[in-house]
Amino acid sequence: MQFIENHESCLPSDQILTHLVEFARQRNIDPNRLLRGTRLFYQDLDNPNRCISFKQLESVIENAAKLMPNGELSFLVGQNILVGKQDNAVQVLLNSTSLQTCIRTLLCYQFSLFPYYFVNQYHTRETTYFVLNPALSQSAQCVDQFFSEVVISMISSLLKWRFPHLRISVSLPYQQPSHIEQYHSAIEFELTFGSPLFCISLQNNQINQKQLGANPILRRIAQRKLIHQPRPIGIIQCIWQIVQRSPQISCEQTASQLNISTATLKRKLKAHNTSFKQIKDRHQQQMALFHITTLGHSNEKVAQALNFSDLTNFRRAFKRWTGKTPNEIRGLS
Amino acid sequence: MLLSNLKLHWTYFILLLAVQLSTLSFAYIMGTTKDFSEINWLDTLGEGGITLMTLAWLIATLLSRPKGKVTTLLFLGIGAMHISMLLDFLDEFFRFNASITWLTSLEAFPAVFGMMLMSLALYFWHQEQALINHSLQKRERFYREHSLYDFISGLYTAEYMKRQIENELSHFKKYNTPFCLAIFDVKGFSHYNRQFGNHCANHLLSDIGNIVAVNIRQSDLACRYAADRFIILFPQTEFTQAKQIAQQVNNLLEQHVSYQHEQIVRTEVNWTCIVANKQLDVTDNLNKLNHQLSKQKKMAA
Repeated sequence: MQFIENHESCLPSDQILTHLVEFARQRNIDPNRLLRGTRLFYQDLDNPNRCISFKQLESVIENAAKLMPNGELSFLVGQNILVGKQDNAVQVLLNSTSLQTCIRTLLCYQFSLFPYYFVNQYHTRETTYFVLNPALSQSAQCVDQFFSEVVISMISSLLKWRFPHLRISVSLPYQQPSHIEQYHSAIEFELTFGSPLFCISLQNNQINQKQLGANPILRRIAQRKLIHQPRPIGIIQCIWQIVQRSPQISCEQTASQLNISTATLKRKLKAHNTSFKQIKDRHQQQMALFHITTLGHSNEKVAQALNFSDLTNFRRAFKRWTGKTPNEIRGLS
Repeated sequence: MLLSNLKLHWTYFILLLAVQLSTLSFAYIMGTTKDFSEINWLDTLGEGGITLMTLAWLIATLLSRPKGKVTTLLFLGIGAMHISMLLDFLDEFFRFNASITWLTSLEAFPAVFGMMLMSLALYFWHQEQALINHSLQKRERFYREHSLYDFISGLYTAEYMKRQIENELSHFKKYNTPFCLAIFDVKGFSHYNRQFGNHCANHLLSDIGNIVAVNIRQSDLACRYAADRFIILFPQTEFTQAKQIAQQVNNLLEQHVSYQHEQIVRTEVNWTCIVANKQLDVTDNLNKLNHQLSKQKKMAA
């Protein structure tokens, strides 16, 4: 399986970076100060084929947070990321006739549209939950929050523009930030802060809503152009998919599946601020949370579903993942 | 800004360089170099430091100011001080003949002259600042913090407003002086942004910032809240009066048009006004205000 790492220059610079630089320029900030520490220069951005690495993007975001601390940048990027782009994946998305095809497009062309997060879906009869996790690297809190804000403002402006009647709610994995005014102004759906997961929930009866201004012919043309394009995924996403397929898999088995040595896998994951155990824990945590809070299952049932030998073990593990016992979490929801 | 001011003041920079060079050549021609062992290095370090610092002030002053009387006076004043310090510094390396001992006794005079010029400059600067403060009325209250300034709209940011509301809330609790808040949201701003691009959208925000600031009372404060929202603080004001002013701001905003690609685009806003609640903190008051605005927007839609 092919995965990408945070030092590889494979992210298109016109997705987030060019927006950041332009917004900084409009605010009288020297673009080269924003690019400090990335070995990129303002003139480099003119090259249409210029790709950047995730690490470079992380440093630019950290610089931006220091130079423009009022928190509006992520929201501006989110609002502009889909506008006026000739990118084929964006064309497929904006010309998907219904919400359902939109979601399918988002999942299918995730790397081209937003390579930084991947999505896991959990279904109940009434509701679909989309849980988002970092795909490439476990970044610093400020960078992670930046990407979350880009995602929610991108979704909010897409809904306002193309699905004005759609209602969703979103829970965010951090406490209410000090720049709450940006959320007030940019986000039109219900938000919950301080939840254990970054999760978007959608009532299933809305799934067939039509997208305004979609043209199915344009969609097919753009889709045809994308046929032979590779669809790589981030390293964390790659390990997650392996764990999802076989939850009991060990680090050694995973490494051999990827044709690398165990030591190499561990080293690579460490370079992305995570470990095999952390990814596996996070996967189980999300399964357990979904079973307990959404499906309302008992501890016994969840422990069984996650292959725990006994209940005490499960309770202990759960407390380690979420900082709370299963009953406390039930009380919260 | 830096580069444009560098170009603007190029005559001053050349003048400075010329005076520096003539001072240096004067010392070189008229004096004899001291022996290496004769130089007092500690003294040299101190005087060299002063010379460099005055030079840094001089350059910083020129880079941050437009042309004008105050700038000229500041340039001459700091420049004279700088030359005085430079002479003092060169003194460490050169010995002057007995015939020009007057030079060493006169080296402090440019500094005195320079300080007099600077005092004059500061007097004019004070007058200038009073004018600038006047033009910032309604955009600023008692407190200046340039890091909280919003470059796009020309107003302060939400953070500045939050600090002001915090102050007003404590005043409210102590002396029972109720105050009001109003918020404005531009209708169809995202559509405008998509249609005409970021630059035009920024111009619209700047226009709106100006209109809001012009049409409130001297005691009120307008800030940019976030994105296309603007917030006004009405200190010690009854609800009916605050609402009246906000309504007037709304009327004037709706008079505003922008001319884009031969199209005339009208500005329309949603707005709401509340009396601040002293039981609630700043964030909850803002939540309440924004919640009411969302309700208003839904009703309007």
